[in-house]
Amino acid sequence: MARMTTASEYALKRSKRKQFFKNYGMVLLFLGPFLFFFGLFCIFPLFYGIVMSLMKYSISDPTQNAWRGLANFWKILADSNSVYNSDFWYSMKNTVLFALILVPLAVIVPLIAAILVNSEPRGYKIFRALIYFPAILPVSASGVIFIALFGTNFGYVNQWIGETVAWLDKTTSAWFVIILLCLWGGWGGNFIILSAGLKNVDKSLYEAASVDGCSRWRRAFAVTLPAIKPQLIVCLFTTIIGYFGLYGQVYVLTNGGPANPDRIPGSTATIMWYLQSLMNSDQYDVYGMVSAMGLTLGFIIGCITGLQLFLTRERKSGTKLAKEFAAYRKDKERETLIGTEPAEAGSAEEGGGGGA
Amino acid sequence: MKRGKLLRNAICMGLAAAFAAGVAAGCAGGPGTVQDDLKFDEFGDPVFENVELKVWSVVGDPDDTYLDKVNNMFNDYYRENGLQAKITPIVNGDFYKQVANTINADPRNAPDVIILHSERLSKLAQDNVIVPLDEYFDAAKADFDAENYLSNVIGECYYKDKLYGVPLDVHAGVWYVRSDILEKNGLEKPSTLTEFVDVCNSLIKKYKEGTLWHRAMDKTNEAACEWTQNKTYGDDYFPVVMSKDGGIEQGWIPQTAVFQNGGKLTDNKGYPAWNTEGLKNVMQMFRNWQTGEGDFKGKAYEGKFVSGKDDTNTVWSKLASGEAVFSCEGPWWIEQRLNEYESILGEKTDEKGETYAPLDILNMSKLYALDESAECAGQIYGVGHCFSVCRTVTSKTKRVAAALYAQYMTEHAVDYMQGGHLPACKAILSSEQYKAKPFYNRYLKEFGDPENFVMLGNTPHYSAVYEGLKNIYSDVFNPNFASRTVEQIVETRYNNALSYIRAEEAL
Repeated sequence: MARMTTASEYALKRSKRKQFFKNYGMVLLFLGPFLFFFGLFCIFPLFYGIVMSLMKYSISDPTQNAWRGLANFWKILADSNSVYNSDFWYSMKNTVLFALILVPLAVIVPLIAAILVNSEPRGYKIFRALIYFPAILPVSASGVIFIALFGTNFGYVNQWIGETVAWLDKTTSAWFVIILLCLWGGWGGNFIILSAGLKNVDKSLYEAASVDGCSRWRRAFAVTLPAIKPQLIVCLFTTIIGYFGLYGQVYVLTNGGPANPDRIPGSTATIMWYLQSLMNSDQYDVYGMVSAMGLTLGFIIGCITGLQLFLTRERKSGTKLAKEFAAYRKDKERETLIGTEPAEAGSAEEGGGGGA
Repeated sequence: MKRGKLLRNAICMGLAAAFAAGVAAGCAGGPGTVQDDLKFDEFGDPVFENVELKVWSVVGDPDDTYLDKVNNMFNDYYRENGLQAKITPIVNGDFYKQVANTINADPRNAPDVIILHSERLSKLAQDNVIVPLDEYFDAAKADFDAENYLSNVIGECYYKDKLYGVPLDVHAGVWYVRSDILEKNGLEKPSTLTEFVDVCNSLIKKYKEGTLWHRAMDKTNEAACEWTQNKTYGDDYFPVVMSKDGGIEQGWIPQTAVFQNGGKLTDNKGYPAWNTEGLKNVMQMFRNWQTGEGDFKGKAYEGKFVSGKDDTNTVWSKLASGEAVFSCEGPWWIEQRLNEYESILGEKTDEKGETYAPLDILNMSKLYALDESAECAGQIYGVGHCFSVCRTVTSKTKRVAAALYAQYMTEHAVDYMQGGHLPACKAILSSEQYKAKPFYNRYLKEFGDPENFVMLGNTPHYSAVYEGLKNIYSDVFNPNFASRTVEQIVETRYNNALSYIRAEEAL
């Protein structure tokens, strides 16, 4: 026989339910749609990807799917006889080298431009617009512009220099063009972030530095850079993550080429290009391996950004101590102020009266 | 505290649900069973009630128009029987990926029939994308007989002794030849490798001497279409367009070179077998054509045959400008190009008032055979299209309909051949209707005997075998690899192909 619910139990349950909706109703209303789509398009694919990475996964025939445990990860990380291992690390090496060259450039060049534009020379608004302009172009469009510039037979650059340089057919020059495109197309974003940071630097700091006899360079290093440190960290963070996913520029300009005599991925194959080429191949059962590679890449990027956050964290010996000291001094001054308040008030009144 | 716990629980439950859904989705799926809904009328013929076949085709512009003609004939013939078919060309380069994806992820919108390249059939059969057809021909009580098709072509439609496809055609890349320039200079269209080399040497020699007659095909520039002996193209003349990234010729020339020198592309396991001495020798010859060094049968070259700066853009442009006499492309362009050249240059006369046929084609028979008297010297690497039925067709009636469709289309494809293909069906090959067609006499009969065409072989490792060989051709012409010997290039690509196959098998 089912247990009877007492009136008080019912009332308690009902009030709990009411209380829950009262507490979380608005939160669910506003966050609910976001959470739903976040779950659908981020969390679910992430777990789906994790499951796929542990399997041999075929997109054409589910009967071929088979549990592989950590075998895919083992191949990527330790099995040097597998081409998946060698091609993955070859593409990763290309990506890391590219990031090592481009990331400093992609932060320093916009920083210099931002400092120059921030000094508001004549026509600085035009410069600002021109610098940001490439950022609004899609990669395919800017890629076409660069192909028109660096094409071997009909490229403008070759016409200007009067030579027939096969820019995109040689490894070094192909990387040069890719880096140039990334820099040109990507500096607008960092420029805007850094410009906003520069606008917010307290002018009195510059005045104080000038009074102390700082040169322009000294002011830039001792005032400007520390003041925009949070923006620099954001730029560094987003640039590293962004360029570890380099794909569009490579696809448009070289499609991974020029050819590599020893392996299928070409000389400018980045890790994203390699993953994409695996997925575009006619090998339908490689998706488990690709998922494992994607997760490995995610882990590596996570480690790099973690390391970066660790290295750029606010140290206790840095401004934190200074701020604590400033707060301590402020408290002290307030205490002193409270202790001497009547006398000061009296003297102020006297002074005011005298002035009047 | 309690609220926090509640939220934490909710998040954990959400993540667990997502994980479970991920596992379920990852492990879900499976081929459906075939529903036996086939009915027959009083004459023993299968009954179709409003069966509409969805056909995806890899055949694109310009020959899809001709395929549609045959499809319309089928629709007219079967309209009364309640059977129709609609072809959708999928020619964006993603055909095979799109088929596999749709079949697995969106079976309701998947095609019933696909028209594919027959060299890829083994791979699709292995991946369970397509199904065997034999039993559906039997079920339809159709008079289908594999003997009615060329054995070399239908042989590629078998996988593990079962017929997975019905072949439509066979074709190969051809050399487009500026026959007017050859004729005006007193030269003949070559038919063997020795003749080809001799013609190229003569063209270069004449150009260097300033006696080479040449003209452009340019409808925007009337003057350029007049005959001249000026050195219009600079100091060097390159009679042949071959490039490291030309595309289409890589898919036929090295393959044909393997066959014509006694080799084969695949072994019994479907692994690559093209690393032959014959291939290496021909590739070395190509490299010499680019450098102008070395000799051919003891005779030095007059100069470089190939410029080293050619790419996809120059394949047609150099032929049109008269800067080259030989350029390799797909056979499906033949009609358009002949029309174009003939309309612009056909009526143009020289100083003697004579006209010249501006364009001709040359098939690859004997063009890469170092021993032209060998039996295999006339072989040409061929590829074909075939019809297959997808596994997502779960109705037996529809599978039978699809099998009948494939049979009809391949047996009545005369009009489709206008697009530059040779029929796989023997009945068409020997029919008067086919031989009476203007396009047969105009260009198809120049394509060679389809029985001499040799296919890739039944291999599920299509990419490793085929692309590996294409890469060798590119590498030989690539100036970045000039320091590598041809032997090194071939062996590296061969070992690469084996490594990729082993990695695939070990997944």
